[in-house]
Amino acid sequence: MKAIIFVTVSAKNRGNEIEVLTEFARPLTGDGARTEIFDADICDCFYPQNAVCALEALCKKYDGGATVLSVGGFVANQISARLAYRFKTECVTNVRGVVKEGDGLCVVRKACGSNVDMTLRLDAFPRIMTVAPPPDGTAGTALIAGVGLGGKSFGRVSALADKIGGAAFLTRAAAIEAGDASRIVGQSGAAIAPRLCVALGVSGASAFLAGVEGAETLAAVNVDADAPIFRRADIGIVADAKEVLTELERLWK
Amino acid sequence: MKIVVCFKIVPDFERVLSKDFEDFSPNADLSYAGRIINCFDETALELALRIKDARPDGDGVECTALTVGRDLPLSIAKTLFAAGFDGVELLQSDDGGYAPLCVAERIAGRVREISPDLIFTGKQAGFADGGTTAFYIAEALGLPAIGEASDASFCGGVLSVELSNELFAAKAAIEPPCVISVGNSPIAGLRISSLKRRLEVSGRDIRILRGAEYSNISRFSEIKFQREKKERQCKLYDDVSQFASLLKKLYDGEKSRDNYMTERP
Repeated sequence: MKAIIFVTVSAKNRGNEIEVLTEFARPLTGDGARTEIFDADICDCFYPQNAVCALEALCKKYDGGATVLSVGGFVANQISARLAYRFKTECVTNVRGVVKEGDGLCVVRKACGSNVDMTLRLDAFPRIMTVAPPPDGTAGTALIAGVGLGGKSFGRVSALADKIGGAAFLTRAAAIEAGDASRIVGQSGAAIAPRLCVALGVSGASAFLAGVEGAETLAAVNVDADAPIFRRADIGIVADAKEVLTELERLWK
Repeated sequence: MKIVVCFKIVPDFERVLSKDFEDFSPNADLSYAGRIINCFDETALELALRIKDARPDGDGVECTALTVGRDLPLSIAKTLFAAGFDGVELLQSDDGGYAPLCVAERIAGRVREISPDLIFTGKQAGFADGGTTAFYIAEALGLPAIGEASDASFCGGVLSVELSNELFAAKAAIEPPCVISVGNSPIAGLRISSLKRRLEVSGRDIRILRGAEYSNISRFSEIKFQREKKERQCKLYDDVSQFASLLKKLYDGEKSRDNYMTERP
C-alpha cells in the first residue's frame, strides 16, 4: 500500500506545515495513496532518534511504499536525512516541485549556488524529501544591506526598517562584515516575499537572488552598472548605496 | 583530542559564465572558474583551528582535514597545512556523480578509524547544496549532530556551540563525540597564512586513501539541469532623490508595480 506521510516538527506551526505539505503533495495524491500525519516527538533535537525510529517503523508498515514529506528546516532536515540513511536511500532537501513520471517521481530543487534547477528522478522507496519553506511574506518592505553599502552600516538600515515597520537583512558577505549571521537573506538564509525589496549595494549573486525572487518589486542600488542585480530588478539606480540610504533616511525621518 | 573536518572542493560558481549554466553538466570543464574550498567548510576548518589555538601551543589537539574526490589541488593542501592542520587526507573516488550517501559512507568509514572527538562539516556544498551529508555521517556513526552552528568553543570537556539562522539564535552545550554542521557565521573563513609558513610546510604530503565503493546504496537514476529565465526588465533611474521618492511612494502604496513600469524615469 502506498502512503504519503507528512512529518510535522513544530507544535506551534503544525497547521502551517500541514498546509504547505498538502499543497505540495497535490500531484502525488489521487492514486489511492493514503495520507498520514506524523507529529514528530522531539526529545533531543540534536539526536532525534525517537522520531527517526518511529518513522522507520511507519515506513516499514507501508512495505516500502511510503513518501515522507516535511517542511525543510533545522530539525526536519536532520530527521529526514537520518531516516534516509537507515533505508540506504537519498533524502532530497529543499524540493520546490514534484512531477509524477510513470512509476517514478521527479523532484525539482535548486543547485550550483541557485544558478540552475536540478531535476532528480526518485525510483526507490521510501521517497524522503523536505520541501522548501515558502518565502516569508510578513514584511511589506525589506531593506537589504550588501557589501557595497558595508556591513558596518547595517545599524542604519536596521533603524530605518524599524521606523517604517519593515525588515532589515544582509547578504552573506555583508553579514561577515557586520558580525551578524542571523539576518542573512538568500539560499543559505531566509527567503522573503515582501511587496517592496530594496537591495542596497548588493551585486546580485544567484545564491542571494534565490532569497528575494518572491519580492513583488525589487529595487537595486549599485555603483556597478554591470552588476547582475540589475538583470533581476524592476527598478534600479547606478549610484552609491550610502547616498541612497541617506536620502531614504531624510524622506522617512 | 582529535578533530576531523570534512571539506569539499567546488567550482567557484560565482565565476562560472552564464552560458555554461544554460546547458549545465556537472562533468563540464569549469576549470577556468577555479576551484575553492566550499564556503561553509572554510568556516568549519577555521573553527577547528580555533579550538586548537585555545590550548597552549595547541597541546594535545590533532586536526585532520578530510575530503572525498578525484584529486586535491596541492595549493589547497598547502593552505590547510600552513593554517595549522596536522593532516590532510583525500579519500580518492572516481565517482563523480551526485551521491551524498556514498560520500557520507566513505567519510564515516575513515572517521571510525581515526575515532575523533569532534567532526566538523559545512552545512551544504555545491553543486547540489543538499545539506544531508553531516546527518548521514552522524547517523552512520550513531552520534548527535548540531546543525546551523555559527561558532564553537571547548570549555571543561563540553563543546559550547552557537547556533544561528534566520529563525533563531541559541547556544547549546554538547558532550563529544558529536558532529557539528557549520552554517552561516560571522567568521569569514579560513585564516590566511604567511608565505614563510607556507614555505615551512611545503614538504608535507597529502595522505591519499582509496575510499570503499558502495553498491547497496540507492542512487538517483536520472539528473537533469535547466536554467529558468527569470530576468526582469529593470527601469534605471539616474537621480538619487527621484529614485528615493519613488521608493517612498511604492512604500506608501501611492504607486504600484504597474504604474511605475509605465512612467518615464
